[in-house]
Amino acid sequence: MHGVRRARQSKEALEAKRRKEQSKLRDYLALTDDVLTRKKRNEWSREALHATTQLLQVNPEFYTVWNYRRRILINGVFPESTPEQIKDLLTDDLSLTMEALKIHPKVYWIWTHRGWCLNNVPSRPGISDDGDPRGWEKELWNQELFVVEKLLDADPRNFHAWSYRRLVLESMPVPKLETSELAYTTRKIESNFSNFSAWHQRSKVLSSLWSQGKLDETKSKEEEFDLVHNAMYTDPKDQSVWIYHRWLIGSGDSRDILEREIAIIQSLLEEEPDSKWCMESLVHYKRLLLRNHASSVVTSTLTQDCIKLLDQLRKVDPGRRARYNEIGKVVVIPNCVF
Amino acid sequence: MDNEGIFDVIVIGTGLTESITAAAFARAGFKVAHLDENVYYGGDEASLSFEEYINWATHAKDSTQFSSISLSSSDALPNSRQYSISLSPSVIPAAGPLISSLVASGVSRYGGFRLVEQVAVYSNHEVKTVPGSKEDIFKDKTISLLDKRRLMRFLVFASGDEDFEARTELEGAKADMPFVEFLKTTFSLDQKMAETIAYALSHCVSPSDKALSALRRLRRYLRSAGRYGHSPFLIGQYGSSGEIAQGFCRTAAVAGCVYILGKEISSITRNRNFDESQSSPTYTLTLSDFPETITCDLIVSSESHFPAGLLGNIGDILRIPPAFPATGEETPSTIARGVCIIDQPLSFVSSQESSSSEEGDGQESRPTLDTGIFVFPPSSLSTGAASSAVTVLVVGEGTMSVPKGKWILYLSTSIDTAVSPEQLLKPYLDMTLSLSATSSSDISIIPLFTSFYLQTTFPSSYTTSSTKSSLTTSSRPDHSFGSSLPTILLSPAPPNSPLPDSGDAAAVNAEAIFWEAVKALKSIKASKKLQKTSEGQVPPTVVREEEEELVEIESFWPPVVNEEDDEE
Repeated sequence: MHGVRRARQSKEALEAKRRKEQSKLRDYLALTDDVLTRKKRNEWSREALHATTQLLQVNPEFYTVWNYRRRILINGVFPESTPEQIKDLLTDDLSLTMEALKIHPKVYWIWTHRGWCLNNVPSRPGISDDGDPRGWEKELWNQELFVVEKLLDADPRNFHAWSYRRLVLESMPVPKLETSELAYTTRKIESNFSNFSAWHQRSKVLSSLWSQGKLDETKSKEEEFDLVHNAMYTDPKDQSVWIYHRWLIGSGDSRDILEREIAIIQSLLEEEPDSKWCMESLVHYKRLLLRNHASSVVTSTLTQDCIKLLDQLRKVDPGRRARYNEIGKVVVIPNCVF
Repeated sequence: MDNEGIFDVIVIGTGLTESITAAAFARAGFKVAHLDENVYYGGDEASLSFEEYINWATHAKDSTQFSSISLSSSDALPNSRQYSISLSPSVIPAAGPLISSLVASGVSRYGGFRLVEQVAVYSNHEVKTVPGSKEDIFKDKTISLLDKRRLMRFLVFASGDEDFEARTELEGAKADMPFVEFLKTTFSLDQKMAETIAYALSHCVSPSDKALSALRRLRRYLRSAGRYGHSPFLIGQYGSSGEIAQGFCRTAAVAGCVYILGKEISSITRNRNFDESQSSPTYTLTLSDFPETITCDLIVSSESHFPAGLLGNIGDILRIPPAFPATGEETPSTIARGVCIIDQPLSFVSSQESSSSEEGDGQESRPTLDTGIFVFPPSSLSTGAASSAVTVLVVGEGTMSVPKGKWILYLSTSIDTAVSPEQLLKPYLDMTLSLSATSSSDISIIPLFTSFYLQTTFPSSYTTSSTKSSLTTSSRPDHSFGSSLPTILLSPAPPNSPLPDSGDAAAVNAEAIFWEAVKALKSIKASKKLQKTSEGQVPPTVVREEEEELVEIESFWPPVVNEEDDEE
């Protein structure tokens, strides 16, 4: 902490600290030994369950023990329990994983265990519901959405959380409206557009809405181009924006769109003559023109443009010059632009 | 009774600078007395209840600092005590000397702080919110793509770590170029954008403000953004500057500082010449209607409140140089102020901006604000006469300085010729109220109360009759006894503009005084002991122990010592 004077630790204090750590280590190894021994003999008792709880609280990355825990529940505890008891046990595990996530929000095994818990909730009507047979699941999945949202507020770039969010949205008995999910991605992008996961989610939601006919693809794409231009011009160095733009262009079927976007990026390049992303994108899009619309463009000019841009790229991004050389070789071969 | 009236240092005036200094002295273990002729804390930066304000306005005719005071009515509004009207309102940058002192001294625990919600700028009969961050710029639908790029490029430059003077953008005589011109030529920004940056982000005062100093100031503010929230500025609850000064006084009192309010100083006598023995105190002060005299070795005061005429024979005066050097031009010494109380909310979001939001609830409601700053660039209002920027600070009930449902608007602008503050500021008040009214109807907001006045910073060309008054901080001969010890330290009055600087300037000046005072007091104490031993009163061995007792003062505020284990 700044401005706080560290109290100098005496030799005795340091020695005491070391001894404390040694004893912690010994306890941990003993616990691990105990758990793995029980596992080897396929013990499904409550004591075994308790032992895994202790171990996982200390080290939630120990995926073997998560696995063991699930097998204990399935083989030993669930067969002896009523559906209410099963739900309670799973709710306990949700609390356990929640505590673990607060400290380790990016450990795969905690997320998978959580998903497993929810998928194993018995189908029973819930307390508030009007006899909905999947009441319990509904409540718990709704709560999951809330949990994932809180984690994304804390760290909007946690791809684990985004991936889990997709799982939740898929699994919820009463699905959330995709248009509201679109608004969610808008919020996240507006608060900080340097966020690969948010753009990615947006692309997934839009694709789904377009394919279902719920949103007019052409109009929607125009709005997306507008959004991405604003991001591009605000921060041309942000890679996630360029990746999204490339997704919007897709395979480059529309010559008009390609030429328009090329012009817009060209203007940006004039403002920021060293922008690697501008140059790279221009090369890519001009190649798309050459490949898809060769009959209606001046191929020699486009090819020359690409050569010039690749030259500049080699200077601005020398680490990738070999790649630019390769592209340079291919681009001049007619009918073989890519 | 012996030691009661004997102090190491007497501080005159409870303005913010002096209050911070008094608190630092008390916490460092010095015996301090803190005087103020007013019955309230805060001096020229005081925060007053409504009735106190009316009282102040009616009786301040003798004041050199305040003049041309007008009131729309002499009757206080109901709930007078729920108002805390600041005579010198200011905001605090979230990162800076004042916030550091507030935290380090613990005074921040006495009250709460609010973030200023929005900053807006006036342009062509419109109010426009000012983008302060990348996110703002991204979302702003009124800035073109190219302007977004240029604005971002400038902001990245302005918030960089390198010394500005070393940057190529400032080569040649650019450092002295007016900031607005600099922005237009070096960063290809248009007039509107350049004015927004200069007056609403960097808080420049006049079109002649120079680039280098404006850049340095802007960087301080940019670094404050995001620390406690989006906005770079905080405002102290219960009355900003006056309340904060009072907080420092409270912490001083807790550490043993003695407070005497409401008594004028009737005389100050210097007790001995420079060459005589140093065993008696340097100054004796008498106060009107106060039985005892009080003595000290050092006097600390603000330049404007120093009762120079009372001194018997003047000692060595040391003037602390101002914290933030003038903005390239001679800082005007007078500011025109206006206070206006309304009972309807304002909004800085133009109807164009709010109706294009996604939700489109069709309500035509513009989000209202609790605290905000609205800036008029110089000469932006054709009916206005100001050649400097005009700042309007809006505070609402969240600042706990106004009852529920009321807002105070503080207007201010620097002036260099004598004008009527009401004539000067009224057009700006009217424009603010008409543009920011939230109801779509044409009913303009009628203020419940208005008051205008001029505040003058005491000119620093104060001359003394002493030949020794030309001491500067740099050339300080290192005697233990001797004639060149300063015994009076004067701090400059804090700058009245720009809005966010007066608090930080006060903190920097306070720290400068503190260290000068510590030096002076240590020398005085040491020479006293030496004197005592040479007069045979105290054996030398005892002297050495007492010297070691003079605790090494290492920092402005005593450090917090953390005894716990360093556990992550």
